[in-house]
Amino acid sequence: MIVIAGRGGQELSRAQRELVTVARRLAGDLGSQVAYLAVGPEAEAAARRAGAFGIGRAVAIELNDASGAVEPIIENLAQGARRLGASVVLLAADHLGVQAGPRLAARLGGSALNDAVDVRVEDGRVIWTRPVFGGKALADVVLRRSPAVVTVRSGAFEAAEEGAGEAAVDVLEAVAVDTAVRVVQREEGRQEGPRLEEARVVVSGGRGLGGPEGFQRLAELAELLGGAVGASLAAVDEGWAPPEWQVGQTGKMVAPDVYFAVGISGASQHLAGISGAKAVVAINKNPDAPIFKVARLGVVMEYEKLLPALIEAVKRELA
Amino acid sequence: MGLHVAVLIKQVLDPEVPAARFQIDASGKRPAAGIAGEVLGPYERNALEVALQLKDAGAAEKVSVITADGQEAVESLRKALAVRADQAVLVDTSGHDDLDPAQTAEILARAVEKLGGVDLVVAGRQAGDWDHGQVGYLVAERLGWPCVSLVQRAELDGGVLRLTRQGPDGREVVEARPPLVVTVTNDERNVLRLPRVQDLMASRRQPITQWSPADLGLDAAALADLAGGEVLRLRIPERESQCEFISGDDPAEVAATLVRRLKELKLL
Amino acid sequence: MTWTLAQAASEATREVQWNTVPAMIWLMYLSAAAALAVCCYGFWRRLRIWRLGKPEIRWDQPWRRLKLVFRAALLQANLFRDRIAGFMHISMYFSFMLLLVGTMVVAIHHDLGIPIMRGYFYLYFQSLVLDLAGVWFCVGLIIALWRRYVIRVPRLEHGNPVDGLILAAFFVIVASGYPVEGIRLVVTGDIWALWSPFGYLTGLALASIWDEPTLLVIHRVMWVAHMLSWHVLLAAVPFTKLAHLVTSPLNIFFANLEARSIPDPVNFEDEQAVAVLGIRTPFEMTWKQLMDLDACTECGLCQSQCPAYAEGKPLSPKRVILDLRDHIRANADRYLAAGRARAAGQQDVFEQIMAEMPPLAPDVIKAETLWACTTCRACENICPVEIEHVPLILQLRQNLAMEQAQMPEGVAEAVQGLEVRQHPIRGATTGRTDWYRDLPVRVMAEVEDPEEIEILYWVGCAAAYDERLQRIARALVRVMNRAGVRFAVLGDEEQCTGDVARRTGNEFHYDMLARANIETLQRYKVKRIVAHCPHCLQTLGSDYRQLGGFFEVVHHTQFVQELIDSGRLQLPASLKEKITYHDPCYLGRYNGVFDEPRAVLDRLGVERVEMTRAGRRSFCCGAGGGHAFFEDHAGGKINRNRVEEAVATGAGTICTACPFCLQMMEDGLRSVGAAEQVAVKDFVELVDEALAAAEAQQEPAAL
Repeated sequence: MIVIAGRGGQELSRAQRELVTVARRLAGDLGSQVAYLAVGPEAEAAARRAGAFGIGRAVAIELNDASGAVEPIIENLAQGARRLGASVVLLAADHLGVQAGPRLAARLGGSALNDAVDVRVEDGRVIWTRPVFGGKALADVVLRRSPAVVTVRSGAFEAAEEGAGEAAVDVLEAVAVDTAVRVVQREEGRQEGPRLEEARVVVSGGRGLGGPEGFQRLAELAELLGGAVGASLAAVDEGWAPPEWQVGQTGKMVAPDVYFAVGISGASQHLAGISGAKAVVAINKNPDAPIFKVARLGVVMEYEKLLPALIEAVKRELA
Repeated sequence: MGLHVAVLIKQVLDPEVPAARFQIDASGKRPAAGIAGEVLGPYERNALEVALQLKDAGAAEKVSVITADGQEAVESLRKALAVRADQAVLVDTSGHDDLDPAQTAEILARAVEKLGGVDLVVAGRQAGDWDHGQVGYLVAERLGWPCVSLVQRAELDGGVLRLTRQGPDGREVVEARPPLVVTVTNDERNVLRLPRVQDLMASRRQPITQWSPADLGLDAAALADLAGGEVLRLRIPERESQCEFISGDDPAEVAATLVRRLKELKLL
Repeated sequence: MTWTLAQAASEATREVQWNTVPAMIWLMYLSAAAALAVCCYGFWRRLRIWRLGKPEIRWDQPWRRLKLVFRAALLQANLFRDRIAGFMHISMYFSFMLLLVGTMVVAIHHDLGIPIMRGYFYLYFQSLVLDLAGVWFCVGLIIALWRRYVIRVPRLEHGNPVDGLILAAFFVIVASGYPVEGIRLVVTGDIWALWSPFGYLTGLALASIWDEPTLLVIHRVMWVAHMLSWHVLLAAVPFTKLAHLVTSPLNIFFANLEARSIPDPVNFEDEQAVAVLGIRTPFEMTWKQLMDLDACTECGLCQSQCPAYAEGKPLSPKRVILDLRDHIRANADRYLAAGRARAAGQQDVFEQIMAEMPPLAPDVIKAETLWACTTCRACENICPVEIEHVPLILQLRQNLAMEQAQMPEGVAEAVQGLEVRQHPIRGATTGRTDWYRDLPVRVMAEVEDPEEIEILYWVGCAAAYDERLQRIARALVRVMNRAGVRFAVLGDEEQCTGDVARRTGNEFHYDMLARANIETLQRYKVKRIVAHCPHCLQTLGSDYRQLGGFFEVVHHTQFVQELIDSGRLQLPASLKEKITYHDPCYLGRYNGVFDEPRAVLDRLGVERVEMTRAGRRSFCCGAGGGHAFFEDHAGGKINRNRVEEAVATGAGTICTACPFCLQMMEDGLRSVGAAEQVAVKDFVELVDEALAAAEAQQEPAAL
């Protein structure tokens, strides 16, 4: 049984729908079934929703734990996975996934793997692919124990389209866990988005912005993409951006999936800070700017023209 | 009585090795030797700093660092001693190459037990080479201790640890009682301090506690049996260094193309 | 008549102590004795402080040293570094000396009873010359007052209020001297009055106002004022900037004849030597470094040349010296007590006293002050009394960096890079040897007979890892190949010279790298090295000598000049560009190379224009002293300042001869928006361009 694990809710998130794609591929190759496991508030709603993705079986464990600890979630995920007889448990490699995956594997006597970006079946063996060495290499890995508890990197697979269907949902009582861990204080909402070094998307501006106003546009785009705003040394020196935004040899080193370099010419000391970026998108009016040498995608245009259009396009995409 | 804190560390291939220089050895399963030096892993540095801050605050009485690795890892243990960790333990796993996270976790958990009296285990969120992100969690499971992940700072307040951590939507503060395992993520306030040169020099003369897996009751067969998985192959992803220019004069059209290409490249 | 006058003139003299009463004379001798005693006591205290310092030999080549003192002190040769101030100083100095000699003549004549103050000597020297000297002194005094209080020369700011009192005392001496002289001339009807024209005029003027009894009273008052103000000044000498009358010549005598501006090496094998790293207290300073503090004349020339100060950063070399001096003076009793305890072998008492004393850095000299220094040597270059600011700042940095583990983040990362990767460049995207993959470059390890290699090319990290700077190395390789130079590189065996570690106080890391490099170079029996980077040049060629690594190192500007002179390289005079040459600090001030790059540029046929600050007075690009690796946000940008000056020359190209200067200039041009109009090129890039162009022209002709 391939089990997709989630936290409940009325909708299946994009990450969850990507897991559906992984599960379908595996189920097809292995000749097994896909089940859905929801642990959390509105678990049953999510479990029913899974039916619309062609999932026949689901377990819902309604968990409303106020402690904020991850312990009860893991224990109940384990309970559900056992009930479903999971041979593979799929989790999104998000905040919950990174902390729950290995521990769930340990409790189920299985093997864990994080950040899968690809999977295939060869001779009955499931081969997972994950980036290693900061993305400089990819490793093909087989897991020895069952179940395989795998977290999947978001964006690595297409999200499955919703169809129609019903899932048979077992609703289980949540196991109470007495945890010694308690959340006592929580920052309200997202204050400034992710931190630069961790952001998946970084939108950076340089001297080409011509003033501090440009950074408001960048912030708008970054917020839409759930990313962080960065700046080149020149922009920080001009006082258009605070020093903690500086990316480069004398600033922060970033490693996002996408790095938007807006009005940044690409001085080598700046490039030093972005060598970990998966892809650089360069937006600059000077076609000879060195930044294009390291860019994956480039647009030669004044940012004042492109950015509003880009923000609109992203908004449409997200809608 | 202050806490006894055990920090689990790992020496890794220099994460700053240029992608262009990254090569794979003949076995096809690991990086080629000599492409770069080795360093104390980036998140282990943060973990060590969190422990040292507890010691500075008088909350920790002793900070021990443990690693499971070959003799070359003594270098990183000495780095930890140079910033005034109290004890360094090497579980020498030479001859048991390519340990996976399950094996490493078992060794380290046993080392923590053998050390005795440990109240708090601090590990990095993931090692900076294979990026498994498992060892700290598996040690917690193995010891049967609660685990707080993605911690940035720790303070002890009347026997209760107050841990600032990266929550799902920003920072949160968690309270927990030892014994406990925490995994650490980086933060501007847990950048590992620099050693004083006098301490650096003294660390060269300090003793390193050396254990073998056998000392921890693990023979080669038992250790091999613990493996959770196996790397079949390591490969270098293809890099398209060519910049693809999106041309056009209409900003809306260019923007739409850009978003489409980003999606096709699975970057957004 | 003529004969009578001549005879009279040969007898000419004057009455000493005219119009005085015994009490005045007693007062004079007593106060003179007291002043002299105070003066001696003051210098004795200074001397005791200097003796707290570590030993250092600074008395080799005594004749050369005496010559320096003669030039600097007697001929005032260092003073024309600023014309107006120089004239001021020379006026006051020489006239003061003449008047002092005059006073001594009186003493010899009167007190020793040797009648020398007579005849033509009396008339020409003691009367006429001294009368004019007083006026000359007034001229100097007026310039000094005008500079300090009217136009308020910036480099004199943060001055001690006592400095004003000194000028006031000088004023009293002069203003009382002329009435004393004048009244005597008028009242006694001295027939030689015209030999003292200004004194006589003063006497006539006073006599036109007051009657004789009043004049006699005024004379006595002025006599006492003149005498006392001079004695007060004498007593004040060791406690004020006047101390430089003694300390400056001393300091010049004990100058560093090698002018190397580098700290002494640390022996990390010696446990005693590493007990304290760098300078934490005055006890880690050498006696000469302590003397430097007292030798400062507070002229502020260093500050006027300092690039960090010019851009509003929290560093004035003058303040560093004076703040240390003032701290040590204020705590002299405790330091002296600690010194006595140590000398008596009472280590516990010594430590007990010193436990209460703050570390000089960052308590007396703030960390941000120390980190603001680019080690450009402009201060040392201009200092008229040979104070060595740079090694002092570096040794204070050593204590911060090594003992207190405090340094800017960028420096820490660069140093960690050195530890792991043997280079300080963060985020390098290539390996050390990738830049020459497609070029004919030989690697030392693969050369069968190292004897056949005439010169080793030291590439340096900047040009090995930075894409823009790789073009410098590639150009030099092409130029050397054209000239048929048999050169090789060390390839992966080359490690950072340790320059960045050394200039940021991380001597430990420098020591490791330097020893490794010396070992490698000695293994290949390398005799001669060419480097395009002045920082490598300095470190390999000068710093390594301290550790026993003796190599002949030339800069590529020197080497190209040499290739031209020996006929191995023919340069076409084909570059019709307007170029200004920026002197890198580590090439010019540190290694004295000013002419070669200019000579070669001239040969290329360029129109060469100079910036105002050029040669020895060149203005730093802002990258030295580790600044290439961290961002100093305080104040303005040094490179911007420099680039504005370069752009103002109207040159289309700025030529540099240092990879870090090149980076700074390019950044600076971008920040002033002139990157499109003005190019920055390394010296050898221009040479290479000209050669390539000449070849391209020749080829079709050959066909």
